[in-house]
Amino acid sequence: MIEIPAGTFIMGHPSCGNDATPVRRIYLDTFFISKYEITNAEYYAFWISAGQQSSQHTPISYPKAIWPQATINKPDHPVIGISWYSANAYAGWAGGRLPTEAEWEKAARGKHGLIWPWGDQFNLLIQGIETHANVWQDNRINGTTTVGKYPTGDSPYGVSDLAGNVWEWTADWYGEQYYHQAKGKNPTGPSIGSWRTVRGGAWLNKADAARSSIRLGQHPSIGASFIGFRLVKQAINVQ
Amino acid sequence: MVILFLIASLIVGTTKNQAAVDYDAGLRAASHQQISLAIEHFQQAVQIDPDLSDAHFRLGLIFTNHEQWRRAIQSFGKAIMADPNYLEARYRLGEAYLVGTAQAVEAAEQLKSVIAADPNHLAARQLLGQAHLRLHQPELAVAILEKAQSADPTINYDLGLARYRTADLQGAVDSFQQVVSVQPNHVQAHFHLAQCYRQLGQGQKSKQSLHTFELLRQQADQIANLQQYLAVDSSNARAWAQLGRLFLRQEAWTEAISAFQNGVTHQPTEASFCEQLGYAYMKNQDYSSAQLIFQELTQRYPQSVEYRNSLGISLAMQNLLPEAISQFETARQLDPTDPQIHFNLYRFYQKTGDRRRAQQAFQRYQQLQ
Repeated sequence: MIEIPAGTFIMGHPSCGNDATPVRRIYLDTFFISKYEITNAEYYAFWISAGQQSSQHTPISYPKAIWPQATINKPDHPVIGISWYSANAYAGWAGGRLPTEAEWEKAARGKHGLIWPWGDQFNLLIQGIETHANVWQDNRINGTTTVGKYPTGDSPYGVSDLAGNVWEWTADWYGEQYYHQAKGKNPTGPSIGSWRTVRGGAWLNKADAARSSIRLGQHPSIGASFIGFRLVKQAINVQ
Repeated sequence: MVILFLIASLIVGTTKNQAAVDYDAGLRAASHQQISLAIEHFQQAVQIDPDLSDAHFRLGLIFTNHEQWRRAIQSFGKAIMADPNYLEARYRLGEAYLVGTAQAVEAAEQLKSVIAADPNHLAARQLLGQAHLRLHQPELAVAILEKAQSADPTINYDLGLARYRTADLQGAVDSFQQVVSVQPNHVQAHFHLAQCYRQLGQGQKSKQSLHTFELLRQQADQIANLQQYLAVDSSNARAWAQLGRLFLRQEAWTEAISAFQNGVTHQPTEASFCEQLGYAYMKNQDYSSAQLIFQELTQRYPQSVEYRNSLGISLAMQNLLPEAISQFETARQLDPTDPQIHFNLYRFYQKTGDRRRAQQAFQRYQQLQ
């Protein structure tokens, strides 16, 4: 887990859609976020404890990612095909929770409002490398990759894969107008909604969808081959 | 018996999985704009699993976008049957009833449920307000829309209409004023303002609003005529430029840019078209594009003070201050009597911290005023 220290950050960006404005400075308490997306191997342990094949938390099997074989063939790929409810259940089982949108975005953009986790240009040259995330590329077979495959794409805090690979469930309901009403300290999303917000873009999206301020609503009851998640744990206040 | 149960569970699990795979394929197809394929996959998904509410919803969205209202209503209805708490499906169902099939009563029922669950759902409030107006219930429309408390001009416009119909003329004026403060070129709002002022006995204000309405309507007619003409003959650069100027007057910057771009394409040597395109870029805060335009113009017309000044401003707005100042200095040499150039030099020398030069420029500006 990576510590994200308390403080303010810039949330939203005018180029990322009306739902990502107004741009505001938001304060968050210290929290910890997992460096990588939750993998097939990690989810497997939860799935066993939840009752295996008969469990409601069984991931959907896709042609290129059959469960539970994926835990052997692709153990370090992000787990996919899980609903928000299953992601949330895993988080509780693991002693954590899903990140709020604000926590996710701060972990991705740092204090200075970067457009992508590594900078303001998608193909920025870093250590001689131009590709920093798993996003759609024509003329290749596209799908998930192992977590941590693009270390140059880490955020200022060192969190990996916040752009591309899989969209990530957050704890918040999706509200198109929410930024107009969000509180300035530790916002936790609207109180009601139809969709949960996913962030980060995925392997089937072009670069722009992987910008750190892009927001998308997805129905929570069903997973997809391009949605995963990561965990957050709260800092313990030592008196 | 146990074995049969396990086999049955496996079959159900497998078919549910297949439905989820089809749903996923539909999402992927939709994300790549492969609409027919998306429809096919979503339909397969709901055939296997009729309780996949989001697959029904996605179908409803596609049918809405293609104005296939009856099919949209069916799909949203099924989404709600599968998940009665699916607020967005209720909202969309209400929208389809109201906009698509003019069934205001049915629309109101759905929209009321949405607002009861989520009082902050502005779009549902606005539609419910419109439904009440259709049902000749303006008081209910006012009650619903007043709680929206939004600067959104479309909500305020509907509120204005509702207030007008309840004979709350001053309230209607307030609403229409809010509309034109955000959208100064809202033609209908100006007309309704004229009506309200006339009935309030404020003749002068009524005349002003009516005059604005007529001016805007003329512009709208001119725009429509030019667009029709250009649809037939798109090579007329002058017509494009005229269209661009009309859009500039309406502060429709993106449309102006598009029109001037077409003008420049068909007559690239005409400097005035380029100049107006550069101006439209500046208004749209696209300073880097404006810079390219004015750079080209200053190369073609190196003695033009105006183009150098515009180039300087486009550079300054990108915080390229030394480059901007260089252009202003060149412009000053070309015409030392232009006060605007000295004022620009004052502003941007100040920003760079060069107080001495800033002061000199300001003194010269004052002398020339």
